[in-house]
Amino acid sequence: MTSQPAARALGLSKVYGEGEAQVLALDNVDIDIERGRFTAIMGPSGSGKSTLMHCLAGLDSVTSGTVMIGDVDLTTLKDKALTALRRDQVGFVFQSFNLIPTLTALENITLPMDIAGTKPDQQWLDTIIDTVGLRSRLSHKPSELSGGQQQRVACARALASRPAIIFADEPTGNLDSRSGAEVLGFLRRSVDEFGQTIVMVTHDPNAASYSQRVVFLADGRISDEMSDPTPERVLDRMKRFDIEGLSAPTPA
Amino acid sequence: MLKAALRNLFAHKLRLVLTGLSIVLAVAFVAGTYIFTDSLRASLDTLIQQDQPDVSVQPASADFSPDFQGAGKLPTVPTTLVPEIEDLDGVTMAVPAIVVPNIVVLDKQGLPLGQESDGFGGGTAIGSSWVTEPALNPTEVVEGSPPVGADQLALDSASAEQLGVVPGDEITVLLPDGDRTDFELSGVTETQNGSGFAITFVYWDFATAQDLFLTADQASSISVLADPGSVQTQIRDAISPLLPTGVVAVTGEEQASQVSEQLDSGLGFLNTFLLVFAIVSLFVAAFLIYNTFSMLVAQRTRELALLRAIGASRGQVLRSILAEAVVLALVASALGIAAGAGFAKGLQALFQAAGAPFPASSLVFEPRTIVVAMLVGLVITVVSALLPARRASVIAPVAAMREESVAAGSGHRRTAIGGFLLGGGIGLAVMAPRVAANDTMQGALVAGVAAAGVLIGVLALSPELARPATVALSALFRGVNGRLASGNTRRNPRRTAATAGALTIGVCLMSAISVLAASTQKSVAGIVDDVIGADFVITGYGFQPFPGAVGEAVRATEGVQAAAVVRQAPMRAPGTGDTLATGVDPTVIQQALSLTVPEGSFDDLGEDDVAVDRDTADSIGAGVGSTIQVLSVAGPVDLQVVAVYEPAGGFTGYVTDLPTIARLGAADQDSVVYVVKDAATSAEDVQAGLERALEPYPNVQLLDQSAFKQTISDQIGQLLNFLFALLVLAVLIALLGIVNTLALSVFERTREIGLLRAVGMSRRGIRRTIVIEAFIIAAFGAVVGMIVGVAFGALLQRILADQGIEQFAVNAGQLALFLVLAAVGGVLAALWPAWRASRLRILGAIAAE
Ligand SMILES: Nc1ncnc2c1ncn2[C@@H]1O[C@H](COP(=O)(O)OP(=O)(O)OP(=O)(O)O)[C@@H](O)[C@H]1O
Ligand SMILES: [Mg+2]
Repeated sequence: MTSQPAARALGLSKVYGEGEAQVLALDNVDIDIERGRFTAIMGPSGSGKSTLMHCLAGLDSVTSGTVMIGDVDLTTLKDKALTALRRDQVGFVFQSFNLIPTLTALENITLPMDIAGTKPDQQWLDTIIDTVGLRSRLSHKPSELSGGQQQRVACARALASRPAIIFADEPTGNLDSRSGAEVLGFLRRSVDEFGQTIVMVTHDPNAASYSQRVVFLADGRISDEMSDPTPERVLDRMKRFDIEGLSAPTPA
Repeated sequence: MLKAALRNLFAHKLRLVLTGLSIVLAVAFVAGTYIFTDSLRASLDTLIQQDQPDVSVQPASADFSPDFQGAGKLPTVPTTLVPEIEDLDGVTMAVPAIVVPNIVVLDKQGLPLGQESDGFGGGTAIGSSWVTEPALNPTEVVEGSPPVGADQLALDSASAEQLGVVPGDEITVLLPDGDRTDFELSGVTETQNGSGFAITFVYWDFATAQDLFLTADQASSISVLADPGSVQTQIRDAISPLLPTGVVAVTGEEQASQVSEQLDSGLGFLNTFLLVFAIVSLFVAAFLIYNTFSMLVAQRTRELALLRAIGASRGQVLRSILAEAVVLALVASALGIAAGAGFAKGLQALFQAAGAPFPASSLVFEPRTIVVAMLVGLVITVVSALLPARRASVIAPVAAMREESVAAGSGHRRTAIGGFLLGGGIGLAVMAPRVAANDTMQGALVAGVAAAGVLIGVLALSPELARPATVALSALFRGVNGRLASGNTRRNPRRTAATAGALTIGVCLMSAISVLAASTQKSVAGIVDDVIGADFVITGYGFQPFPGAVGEAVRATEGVQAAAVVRQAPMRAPGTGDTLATGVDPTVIQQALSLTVPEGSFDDLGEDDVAVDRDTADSIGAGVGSTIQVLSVAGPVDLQVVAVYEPAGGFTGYVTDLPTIARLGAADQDSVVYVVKDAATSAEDVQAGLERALEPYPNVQLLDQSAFKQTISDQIGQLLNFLFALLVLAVLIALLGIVNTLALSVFERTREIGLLRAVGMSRRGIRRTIVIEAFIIAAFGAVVGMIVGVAFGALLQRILADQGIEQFAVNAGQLALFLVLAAVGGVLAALWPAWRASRLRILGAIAAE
């Protein structure tokens, strides 16, 4: 794929706190997220996965470096433009608390478009709803849905406005393996069938194996990456990673 | 545990401030009310004490309620007593004194001084003789010299300042007989401790005062100064045998306690009146405090459950919350008492602005004030905190630690009780007018209980009402913001209802008062239309009596067919107590007023006859032919009833002809003149003629029928504004409740707001959502309050129908204004929480656990 990447970070650094309490969460990260592909980000706890995702998605400011979504440099945008960009170009799935409790499943799915004041594409909406298999649950409130169903509603919401890119931070972290598999399968299908671009943070090698490319983070730096992962290869890589992480800093 | 509680308190400064503020406001109202009346009392007490001579010789009628004394001829004592009293052992001196109400000091434009502050007798001054003996005179000359001779007077310093005069300047005074006289200002006076009364005092020397107002050998009273060491009662007993009938001697102490008693009942009423408003505010504040604590506890359910899980007992959890509440209550109540002092100052200003002649004084803190205020703050806070805490502590720790917050109990019992109270209240309300038909007081009592039942019932049911009401209100808003906002209001109907409930109470009372006022205005206008056949009405400003010469001048005006004067005298009569008897010309009054006389006739009214209104006649069992003994300033008088008439607005009570009222002690002064023009002359011409005739009397006003109705309306409106000013505090507390609820809700919904921001809602969108939420809550509370309030108003009108409020009316504009103001208030209340919500950091919000 020669076209421009869906998202890209160049020399991205992120520092939290000040003085003594300073934490370098991201250290000069360069990454391209290819269009129409399913990318997984893995790494030990505290390695900066969530931070990277938040910076890429325009949810957090960066300390230095640039972040692009399409050809827009997020670091130059003001809050208003960022908000609009998130609304129109980006979809999110968080680990938990993805849905507004006072809205029905359907209302949650169409929320970004309702906020934008645009009409959802009904045919596309039907396709998504059938794909996530929630047609019978559309008028239910989140509290009346199971955890897996809630995450599938969140996925449907992320897809509904046809964003350029979807970010998912441990979307299956709270789910049992069967519900997790449903959600992951659905994410993968949206890449394969609709050409959606997805970036997913995960701890789970099994989840990572649904992706087409795994990027490994350690101490705020990209330490490695892997194409067409299988659970075994990822697990293997992670074990190595743990030993390296304990013995010596990762070579750049 | 106490340490944990304290740490908790300070960990959430914002919630602390918001909850504390509600306690402060409520306590401030209670404390302020007490401080205000105590201060008033104290300043009046000093005045009373210092003003009393050792013994005072005065007319027996002086113990008539002072409200009625201005109307009659001045009661007097003979000055021939002075040397006789001075001859007695133990008497240092006896000084005759003269006091005359109803003097009018004219300003440079020829208008009565202080006339703008009408309503409370504005525009009139008290004239008296200057007592040269300092021991008997609490007033001193601070500039110039005391008045001496027939062409000098002295004036109190506040009035002199208002007039812009200094000693040596000329001052024009309108005397009660209508004479305009110029005097030279000899000096400016001040009363020790500065009375601060908004009343004008004028002083002449004794001879001049006697010449102006009385005849030789007469005085209003004689003040006796005793030798040091002598006993007041002994001197009184020595004086008494010297006195003719109708004159009595009282000691300074007796006098002071008498005045004190009168003040007590007046102040007691004022205190009760203000406390009623304080209770309303407290009630509203209790809602707010309860609501806040419910939310705080709900938010901390998990934390409390964790404490339970690691082994804290239920008691310990409750105690920790209790400790928190007590600390908060004590601090906030103390601040509330301080704020109460400010509030008392505000009340003083409010009363002064309303024209009440109260002295502005330093503030008095009674221990009682502090105890009551502290208790009120403590009890309300602790109860408000413990109820939700108890609920929280019975939740199983495991349930509480689960992700979703625990749903509140179903509230079936609350609904049942609410339904019962509402039903019972409505039942009583239906009965009340029937009870009132027999006995207004009892009817009012039943209505009061009914109103309380309905209001509390509605408040208890309002969580049930909240759902349909918010659905209906949210139809006003399209789009996702409206949907989110209305969803939020339904998320916890109990909370929404409690928040709105505070506003419901305030709006309910304002609406009820508004309806009652509108009904009164309409009824009065109706009575004016029905009863007053006169084309013009002449009254004194502040309803002060005016010279009889006015009536003469009116009668002499071209185009005037009849001028019916109404003249009054104080008396004590069966069925009415201390009252004013009315004297009229029986023939002329019937041309000016259309009176219904079911028994006897006004035409029969002659010497020593009386007409009695039907209510009074019924209450004393009198009818045509019966004889009634009344006590006038001149002593007991027997009057024979010749007519029983239907009371017509202000025209009620005992009515006699003019010679009889004079015998009962009326002065040559009138309180109203009704003018009937002849058919041949145009109203404009008569009006112009009357205006010319009345030019020498700037203390009277000429009103045609519509202007007359307007003045009465204005007076009711003034009272109305005063009541609204007191209710505003309750409404403010209610609005603070909205701020509080929303601020805490925003806090609760941090993650949700973060999510909304993440999926693309702008800051403005977040703000809009919260503002709409506030609007829905406020409108819900206000609409419910208005419905209940209008119903109360209607009920009150029915109850008071026999008292002359015969017609029901609503001032739709005013009610609409309340709704608009409540909605605007709600929106304003949301601004700050909305701003805070829109400023939440998205990530902080998403990450928040
Ligand atoms: N708001 C913050 N303030 C200060 N430090 C932070 C903040 N957020 C993250 N950090 C720090 O930045 C580093 C990276 O955090 P991040 O949340 O990106 O890790 P992660 O890889 O997502 O970990 P996990 O797998 O546990 O979610 C950590 O050391 C963390 O302590
Ligand atoms: Mg993370």
